[in-house]
Amino acid sequence: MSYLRLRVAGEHYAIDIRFVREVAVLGAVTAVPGSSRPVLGVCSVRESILPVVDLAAVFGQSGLVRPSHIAVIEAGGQQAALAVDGLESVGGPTGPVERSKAELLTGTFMAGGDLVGIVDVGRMLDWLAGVRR
Amino acid sequence: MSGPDEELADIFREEANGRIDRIDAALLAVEAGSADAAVIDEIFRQAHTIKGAASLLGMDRISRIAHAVEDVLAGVRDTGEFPPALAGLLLRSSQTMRGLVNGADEPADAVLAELAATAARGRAATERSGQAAAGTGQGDPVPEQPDPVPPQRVPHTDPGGQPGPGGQPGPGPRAGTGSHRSVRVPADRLDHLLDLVGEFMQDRRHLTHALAESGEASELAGLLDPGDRLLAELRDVAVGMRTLPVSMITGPLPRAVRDLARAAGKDVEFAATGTATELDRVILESLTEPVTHLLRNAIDHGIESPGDRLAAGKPARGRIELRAAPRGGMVEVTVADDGRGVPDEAVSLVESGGSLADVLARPGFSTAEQVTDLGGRGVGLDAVRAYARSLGGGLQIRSEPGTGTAVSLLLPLALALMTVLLVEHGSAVYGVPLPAVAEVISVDRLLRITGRPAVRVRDRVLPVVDLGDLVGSPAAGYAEGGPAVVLGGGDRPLAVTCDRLLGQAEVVVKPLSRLAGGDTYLGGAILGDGRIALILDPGRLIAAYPTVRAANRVPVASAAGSDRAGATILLVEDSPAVIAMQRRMLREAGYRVVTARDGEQALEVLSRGGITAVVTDLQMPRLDGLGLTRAIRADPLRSDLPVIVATTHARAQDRQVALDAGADALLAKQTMDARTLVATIKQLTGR
Repeated sequence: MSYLRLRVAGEHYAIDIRFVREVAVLGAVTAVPGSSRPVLGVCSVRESILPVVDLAAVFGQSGLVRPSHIAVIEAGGQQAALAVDGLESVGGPTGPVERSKAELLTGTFMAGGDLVGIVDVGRMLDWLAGVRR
Repeated sequence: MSGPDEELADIFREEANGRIDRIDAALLAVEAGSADAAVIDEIFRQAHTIKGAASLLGMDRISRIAHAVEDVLAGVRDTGEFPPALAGLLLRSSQTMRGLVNGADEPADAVLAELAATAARGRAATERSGQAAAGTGQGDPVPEQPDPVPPQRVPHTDPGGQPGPGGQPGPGPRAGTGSHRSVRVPADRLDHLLDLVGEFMQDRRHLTHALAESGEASELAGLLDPGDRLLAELRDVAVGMRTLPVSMITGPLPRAVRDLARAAGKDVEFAATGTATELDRVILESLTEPVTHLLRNAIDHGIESPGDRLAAGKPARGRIELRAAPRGGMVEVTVADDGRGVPDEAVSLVESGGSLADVLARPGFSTAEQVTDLGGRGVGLDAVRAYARSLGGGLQIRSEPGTGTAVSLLLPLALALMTVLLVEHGSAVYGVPLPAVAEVISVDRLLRITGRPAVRVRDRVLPVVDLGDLVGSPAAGYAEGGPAVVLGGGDRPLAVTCDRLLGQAEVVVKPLSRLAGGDTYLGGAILGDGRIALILDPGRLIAAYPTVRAANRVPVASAAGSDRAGATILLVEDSPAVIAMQRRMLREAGYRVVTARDGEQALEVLSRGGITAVVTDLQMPRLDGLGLTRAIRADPLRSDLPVIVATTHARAQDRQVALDAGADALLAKQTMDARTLVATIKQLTGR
């Protein structure tokens, strides 16, 4: 199994590459009044309009730095652009995957002294749809 | 707020009405003499789907009628004969079903008995194969009259099909391939084509914009001209493929008008003009209901009784006309009558403020002296207007006392392309669908009443609200002297202030994710300079106005986690009502649910991975449930994916066929409840 590894507010996360459609530099974001809190707004990617999800806010970080990149993910017929501070690498887990008690993670593994959380993409999108302002 | 059950019932009502429309259209075609196998199959298929959804929702009478209709048609298929009286019976059956679907307490026993008797005769006729079906069963409740009209033969269109009964060979394939050759193309491909054209146009706009910025516009722009012309033509062709003539839905209307008029004791002639005018097919599919409503209104409230008409110096027979005509980028669909016009009361209300549409669409306003069983009342007109607005259109009413009333629906030609007024608020750009814009004003002097700002426009006082407050944007509010867009001009016109008007634009509206405004805006549009304009839903804004200050919601945590994390069920089903029902069962049990409308789409979803189990219907367009099951079993990557078939087929051989195809379990839709479904999935997946 391969993961795209991301850096978010000083933490490290991984997304199963089967959910990843593309990565890009974060361009202009249009705020959408009324959307859920971790959603920064919308951006256009290849003539589609996608919600921009502040991954730092999803994981309870304040996200002091403006995110620099997006990873476009797709699950359950829904697409979203995850705003992150940096894209790190693509590869398999560098250590044994352990179960995680965190609600939106399927597990964790170690990579060079950092703890990496594997994001449960579908669950996160459902969770976001339920979060209100 | 409607509960989930009500919501489910709404979905079913909408779906069933659509299917009953198709049954009626097919039956009218049969009446008109085209009883071929494809038409019979269409009625059969629609009845079958209604039966499934109705039984799932516990609407017993509907499912029994649908079932009986199927039985009768099975007889028609077997004997290959469609007795002329049958169309009438089936029309009555569909009418009863429609009444039940729409919440009326229709007695079903008489129709059911007639259907049962007819089915029994059909079976008897099949057994006496070859003989004419002349006699009736004993104790038959249907008075059988000698039929002077010979039954229509149902030609089998299937080339491998059986010849007709009685040893007669069926007619050969039709030699209708002359100059009118056509190709069937799946609708979603056309949608995709239009999307691409729209995107291409947008791309062009970006380019034009960039050229203008660079200052090299004049020389290079000339080179772009021929391409722009081709592109505009391409757009028209693509839009043209997605549109269908209004005549697609007007077929059943003469009959409907005749029935309604008869029930109201009135004499009405009906004419439809301009029916070659084309409309987006999605809009067209939803147009029957509002148009029928307007026809009812015209019959109930417009046309006078024959006596009154004669007394008023008019012909005894009233006239109702349905007119469709292109108007700019929109299409106007008008229902006009030559009746009494709206009463003085309404006219005087108009003089005191508001348009005729506002007064008549006011809930509870009715011009009928007596409320009839067909009663189209104010609340109905309000719904018709809400419908038009939801599509970015509008409603207009013109009336002349004594000479008639004309109600016009203004509808966009194509859903994907919309003309909007672009406005700026804070740093954001919003688009207001043009038909919803009554006028644009400048708020020179703000008034204040009951703590809310207002503005005087000519002789009317309109409430004023800032766009930012309306949509919940933190950007700064309005200032005196700024522009405002008057929305609706409706019974509750609203002046919405913004910072700047940017002008009118034709935009390609793209859906927004439910994560970001998908349930608040009509969509988003990418502008020439790359900015995204949020397209406002005027009806929603007007409805939101009274609650603007109350909007102060507390963040709500997500639904409690469950032990089924990661288990995703693919629901394959072509009935929205059944989807809604099963999705609810599964979601409540903690599963994630994705859906597909048919087997083809299901395979597409499966190819993206992440599916834990499949729950599929059997009868579906394109690729059916058996085909889907076989395809899954044949795919080495997914051959062990659990497949549950949900079926209304109770027959043993159907079950065996499904199991042979590789289904892991079969559940009867009629008796399926959440516990059975979840237990089955758990047993098969361990989750």
